[in-house]
Amino acid sequence: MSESITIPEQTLYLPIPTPVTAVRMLTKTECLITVELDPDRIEPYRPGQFFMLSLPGIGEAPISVCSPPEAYPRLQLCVRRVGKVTAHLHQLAVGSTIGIRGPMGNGVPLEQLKGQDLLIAAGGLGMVPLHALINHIVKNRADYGTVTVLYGAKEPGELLFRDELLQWGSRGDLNLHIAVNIADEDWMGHVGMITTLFQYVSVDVAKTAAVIVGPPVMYHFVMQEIRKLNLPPERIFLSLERRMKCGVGKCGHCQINEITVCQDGPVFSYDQLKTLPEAI
Amino acid sequence: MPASKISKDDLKRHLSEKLTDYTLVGPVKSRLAYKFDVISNVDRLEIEYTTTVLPPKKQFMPTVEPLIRFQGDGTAQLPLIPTDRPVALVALHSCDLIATDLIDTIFATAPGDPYYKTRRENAVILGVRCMEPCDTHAFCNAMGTLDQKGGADIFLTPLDHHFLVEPLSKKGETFLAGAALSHSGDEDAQAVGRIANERDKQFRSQEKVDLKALSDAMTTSRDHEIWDELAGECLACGTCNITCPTCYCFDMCDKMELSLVDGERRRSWDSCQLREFAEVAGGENFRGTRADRQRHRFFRKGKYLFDRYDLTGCVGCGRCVRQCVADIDPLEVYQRLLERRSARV
Amino acid sequence: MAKPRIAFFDFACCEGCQLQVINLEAELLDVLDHVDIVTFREAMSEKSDDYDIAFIEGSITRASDIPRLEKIRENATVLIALGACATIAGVNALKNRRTPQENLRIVYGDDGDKFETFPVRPIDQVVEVDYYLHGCPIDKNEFLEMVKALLMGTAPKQWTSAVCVECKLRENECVYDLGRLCMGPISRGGCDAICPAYGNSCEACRGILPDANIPSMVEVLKAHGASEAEIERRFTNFTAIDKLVQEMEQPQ
Ligand SMILES: Cc1cc2nc3c(=O)[nH]c(=O)nc-3n(C[C@H](O)[C@H](O)[C@H](O)COP(=O)(O)OP(=O)(O)OC[C@H]3O[C@@H](n4cnc5c(N)ncnc54)[C@H](O)[C@@H]3O)c2cc1C
Ligand code: SF4
Ligand code: SF4
Ligand code: SF4
Ligand code: SF4
Ligand code: SF4
Ligand code: FES
Repeated sequence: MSESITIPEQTLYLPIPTPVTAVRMLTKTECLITVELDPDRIEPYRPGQFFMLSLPGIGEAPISVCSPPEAYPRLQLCVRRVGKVTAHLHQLAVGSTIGIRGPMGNGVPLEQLKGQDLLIAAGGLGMVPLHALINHIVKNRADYGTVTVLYGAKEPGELLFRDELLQWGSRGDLNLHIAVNIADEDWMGHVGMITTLFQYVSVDVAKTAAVIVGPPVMYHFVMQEIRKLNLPPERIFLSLERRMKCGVGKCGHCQINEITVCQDGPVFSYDQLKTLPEAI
Repeated sequence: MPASKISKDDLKRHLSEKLTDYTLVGPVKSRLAYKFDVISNVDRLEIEYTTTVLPPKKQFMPTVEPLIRFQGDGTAQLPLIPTDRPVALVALHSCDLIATDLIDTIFATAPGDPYYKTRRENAVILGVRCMEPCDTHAFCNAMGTLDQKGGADIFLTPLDHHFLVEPLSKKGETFLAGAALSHSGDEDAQAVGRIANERDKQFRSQEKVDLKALSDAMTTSRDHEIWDELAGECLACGTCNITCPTCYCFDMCDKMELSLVDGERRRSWDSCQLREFAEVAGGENFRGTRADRQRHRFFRKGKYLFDRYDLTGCVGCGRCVRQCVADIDPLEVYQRLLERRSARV
Repeated sequence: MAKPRIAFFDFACCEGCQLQVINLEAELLDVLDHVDIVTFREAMSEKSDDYDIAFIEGSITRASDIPRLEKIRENATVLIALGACATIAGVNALKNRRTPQENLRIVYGDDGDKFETFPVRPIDQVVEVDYYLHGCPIDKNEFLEMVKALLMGTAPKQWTSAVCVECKLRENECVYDLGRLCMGPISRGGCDAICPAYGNSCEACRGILPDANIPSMVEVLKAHGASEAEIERRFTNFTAIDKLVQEMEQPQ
């Protein structure tokens, strides 16, 4: 990775105009937006970090890095339409411009994961940041041991990156298990909560790290399964979602206990979270 | 440094002269209460006053301020913060001085907030010692902020006809250049000690809050019955946050002109007592009940900021309880939490 | 792009909110650069059924209002409740304290039988409402903000904070300190706390916030010397229906 640029304080809240180079619908409610970052003004990013995307007059929204660091200065973002900003992001045309601030947050500790076996669990939109991580692993496959990916979605239609799932599944060096809560007629795979995929998981406690991203309800149940594996808490990583306004540790919206999720997180080890009672 | 003093009239005269080079901001009286305001005639300035409605923080971080300006051509620019004239912020009480230190720490912690820092660096602060409790709600003495000078550039102590004057920085010395200072002897210092002694007895509580013990007590008070009690009383109106000198949370939203292409991204003071403060997409609310929000507020005052910055998150100014129609009183909350702790230990 | 077409309709109300729109004068001309106003009884005589955005003023007070409102809902892409009568039934809801027959007798005397009426409803009890523009009367600037948001194709701000927030941001002295009562702590903001800014009590003309702590508000009013009757009046001036709904939702 190239050397990092220090963002001058003057531009702390200044969105950098960034051209949109591709827009593609992934599902009914999620679209994949590709932008070309200005490498003079925006630093390289890591999986687990996020950017603030904005449109004048509409507002800003935190969106996770979806592409692997190798793609820089290209950046992909996967956006679910839920409200004001996200609805407008869905209407973007190729060639238009959006405002971008970031990258923000700590990201997944890649150095710590190197050489480890990895257990990756994605619930719903949690696949977005993990897509960046998995692609990074695929590009640097020799750096990691056994890699297991568990992915749970409500229904088949909500599965993100279907083409890539097929590729990952057929590589032979990734153990991919997918579960949907509710099957449709075409679904041939596993049906059930993501937790029911743990029956396929066996880990070498001595050298496995887990990375888990999903909605708050998922953490509760997945952590019950993870605890059964007896992994050391400092090798279990979770990414938290909180309301965010500034992304730079000032506005207080994402605060839990003495930390701000936007700056000190969003990725935390389970070890850290145990001392943060409000976290999960 | 030799102690010096200035007569009250001479200080006024000096401040009046400074109007040519400085923008003067200080307490003025409105109907019943005081507010910090720009002063063009020093006769309006009330150096000896009781605590203002809003804290002086608004000088460095206005209640509503533009962060970004959008232009019709699709570009975004930073608004200009004029610094051609320094600001003299006059008559901050000790509680507000310590609160300013806290906000300075947070807004200067990397990455620093450029708007706050620009205004803050452009200001010279004159602190003033309180010679009596500002009212029956104050508990600065209990929080250890009374008589503190914090980041003041000059600290004044009012006596009958004089102010004792302590310059505390280069900026302060520059501001005082040309003032009619005279030597202040031991008798002045003794007078201050005497008055302060009397003053201390008039505060509503004589007991000091042990900040470390408070933080520890909070660690084990997550499920204390007090949060539900407070939830029963609290109206979630936000007043306590908006008026607090150590609250700094803000909201960001865009406001466009009728052209729909020119406009601003603004920030405005926010309150963690409001229902939507911690709500995210999908309707999940991490502090959906008033009990959760009251606990967050008081933990922030008594624990989170202290744990992180080793500074008190509550300076005891009493603004929140003075203006809370439900009379929710932080000192009572702290004392309750400490009580249970001592009962347990 | 074709200009969006806006229509205004009124039901039972004083039409004061439409007047606020007309009072915009200078800005109204700028708004007209972006939109066409096709139906607006207060200011023009032409009428049209072809519109995108419908602003509805007034409460629903009789059976014949219902099909009329349903028809408007069908025609409009976006429907906005304009002013307290439409958003929360406002002062009109006072009428619900008596039976329809009594009301007719009081208003029209012996001719009462010739008119139809039923208990007053805010319009969202009849059709789905997309956005609310609260207030008695509405705030001109909030109206402008709403129009701008709609033109930009985005959701307008819907206030969820109490009047106190704006009141304190303006650094008003609390009217409780002036010896008056105030509903600000549980009332929906968005008016820039205009009443307390002039030393008057907030009468909650924008409604009570969802999830409001009504029992504690009653205690606060009592503690400041309000009688039972006074408290009842404070809660029913504008917000009779809000209070009723909330009390049914959260029995305490
Ligand atoms: C670190 C982080 C990473 C995220 N990554 C992604 C991602 O990769 N893809 C994706 O689709 N979404 C992601 N989100 C969620 C996304 O930020 C919100 O869905 C978005 O901000 C909603 O904005 P809106 O204007 O469309 O919705 P609004 O119209 O503002 O509101 C719709 C709902 O979203 C909630 N909301 C508003 N602002 C925020 C906010 N700042 N954070 C969370 N919820 C909010 C509101 O409470 C409301 O319930 C992420 C959130 C965080 C905190
Ligand atoms: S001022 Fe009082 S009633 Fe209002 S939010 Fe704060 S504690 Fe609650
Ligand atoms: S919590 Fe209350 S007493 Fe403490 S600093 Fe804030 S306003 Fe002052
Ligand atoms: S709280 Fe204490 S320091 Fe602050 S104004 Fe009152 S007496 Fe002075
Ligand atoms: S005057 Fe009313 S709105 Fe203003 S702070 Fe007091 S109670 Fe709240
Ligand atoms: S202050 Fe209260 S009564 Fe006055 S306009 Fe606002 S909401 Fe209505
Ligand atoms: S988003 Fe503002 S502090 Fe984290």
